[in-house]
Amino acid sequence: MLLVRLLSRCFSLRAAVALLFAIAVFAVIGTLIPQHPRGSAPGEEPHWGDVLPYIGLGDVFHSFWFIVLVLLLCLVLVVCSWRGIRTWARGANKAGLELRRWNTAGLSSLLIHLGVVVIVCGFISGECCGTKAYVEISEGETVSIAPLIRQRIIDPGLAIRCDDFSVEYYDSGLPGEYRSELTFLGGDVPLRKATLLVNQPFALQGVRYYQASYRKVPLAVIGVRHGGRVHALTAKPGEVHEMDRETCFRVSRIEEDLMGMGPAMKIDFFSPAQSGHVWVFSQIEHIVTVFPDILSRAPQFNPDRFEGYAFSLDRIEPYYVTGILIAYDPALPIVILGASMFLSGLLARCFFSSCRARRNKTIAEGES
Amino acid sequence: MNVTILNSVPFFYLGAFALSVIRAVTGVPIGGRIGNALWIAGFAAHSAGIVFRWVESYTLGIGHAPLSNFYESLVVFSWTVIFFYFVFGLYRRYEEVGSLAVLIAFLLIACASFSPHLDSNIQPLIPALKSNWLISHVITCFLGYGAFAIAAVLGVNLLWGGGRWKDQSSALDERIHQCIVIGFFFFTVGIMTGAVWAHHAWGRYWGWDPKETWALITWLIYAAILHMRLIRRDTRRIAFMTIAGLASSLFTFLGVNYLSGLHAYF
Repeated sequence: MLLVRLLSRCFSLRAAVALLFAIAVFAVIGTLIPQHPRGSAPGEEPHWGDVLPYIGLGDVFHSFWFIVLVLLLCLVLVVCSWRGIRTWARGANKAGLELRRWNTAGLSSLLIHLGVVVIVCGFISGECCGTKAYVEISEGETVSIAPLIRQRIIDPGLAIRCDDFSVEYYDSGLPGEYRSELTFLGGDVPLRKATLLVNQPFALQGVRYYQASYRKVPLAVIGVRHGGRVHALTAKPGEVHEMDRETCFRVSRIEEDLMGMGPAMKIDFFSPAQSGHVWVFSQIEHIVTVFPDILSRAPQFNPDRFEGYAFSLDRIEPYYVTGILIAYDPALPIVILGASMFLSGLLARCFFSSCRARRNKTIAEGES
Repeated sequence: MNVTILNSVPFFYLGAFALSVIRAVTGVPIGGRIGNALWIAGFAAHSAGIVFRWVESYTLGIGHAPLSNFYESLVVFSWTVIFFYFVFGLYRRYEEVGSLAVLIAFLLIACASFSPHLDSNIQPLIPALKSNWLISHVITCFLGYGAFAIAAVLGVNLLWGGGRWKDQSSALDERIHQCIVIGFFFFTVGIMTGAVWAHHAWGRYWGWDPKETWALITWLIYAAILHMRLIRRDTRRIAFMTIAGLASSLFTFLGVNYLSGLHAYF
């Protein structure tokens, strides 16, 4: 008997209200304390906030406590809805008026509450089964998609090629529109062409592609003199160029203006005989006239530092890379179903309330 | 043109509020009609200003609803407060404390009109805002905020409106409930349209962004208020909660600008 009483108290309207407030309090905490969701690294320095992850406050919305509260709320809603259905079933044997009243109010409440439960189920399923990936592609580049997505839901050979990327700016300098012209490839065969804009995603094989962002990246136009010939190259930051079987170099940094001496790039050079780095300035001749002994005092500024190789930086050309978000959420239809249930229940409830208010008013006027 | 019209609106609302204060303090029933005429004129100018701004944006070749920046959102928020002030008949039945709604509307639009930090020029839309969901999402949210503001004003009326309301607290409680139901409906639609828009723009319908989270907090508070009424009709407690709900709504609108997120105005 005590257990029944305890359970009925646990699954009551009071419990639901208490849970609503408790979730609200946790949510407030989640906005006030800096969050470090899964996959992101907190600050490297030790901090008092380092204890927060251990009590679930470093990632409130994925914490055990928060999930338990939400699931408890769902449980209370399900139990209350079940009670409502039982009341309706009993009422079916009673007078028609009682039944009609429950038909409108009860059914709308049922839709609203079960709608919340379905939304929560869909959201949790999406978090568990869905996946997201972000990729940056430059014009002409092709990126394979399958390794980016956890699930095996797309062809392993599916790839995206960025054919063109363009940005339109307003006079104020703010971007007005940016778009990526993409080709989806199955192996080497073009499957589909798509234009990606913000707010206009593209779906293929159940996966959606979004125009997420873009950024400007410097591209170094360089010359490498080796074996009596000058090789003209373009290099992106981090790109490795092989000169022969054993020698290669990487442009590790590109600077528009280094120490007020103009454009420069840092080259990491690797060969069995000599390895190291060198800063190559585009205006090295001018720098040498101003500081005649700079190359002897700072050999890392000498473009001829590595024997047999001489580097020159002709210019820096900025180019765009487009940021594409790849998202897969198999539980989205569940969330849409829940939202539809909730909204239709709420609409019915609003109309029922207004009808009841009008009826009460009419009765009160009749009585007076 | 639109800015000139909108800049005049605070004076109408301030005049209407000042007259109601004089009436409440002196007890002399003067200026009632003038007060009503003032807020009605202000509301007409307010509506005209919004429409002109919308039309002007098309003549500038930008062409978008005036809902895209902080200035415009303050103007629309203020408009929804007066809209519900009119819809719920606060100017007739609850004119003493009901004029607090006019004060709220005045403060919002005065902030928009006179703040030196706000740019009242019509700005072109950034790519993320170029969506048909902008209108439905922002308008429904602000209709929700407006109804919640009126509920809070009625809550103040119930708590501190004087002995006159003690006998009519049930009627006032019913009116507060209506405001909350309507606000809750619009706010829910606002959150849902926002979720659909976020799904189209950012690839997720919910991302625990501070604005989204605070919208959820506000929604939870009003859901709790609606359910508290079913447990026990404690009108005073519900009246207090409507004020807490408005505080949460205002934080959802303004406060989250101080937390990093995708929705920040400044």
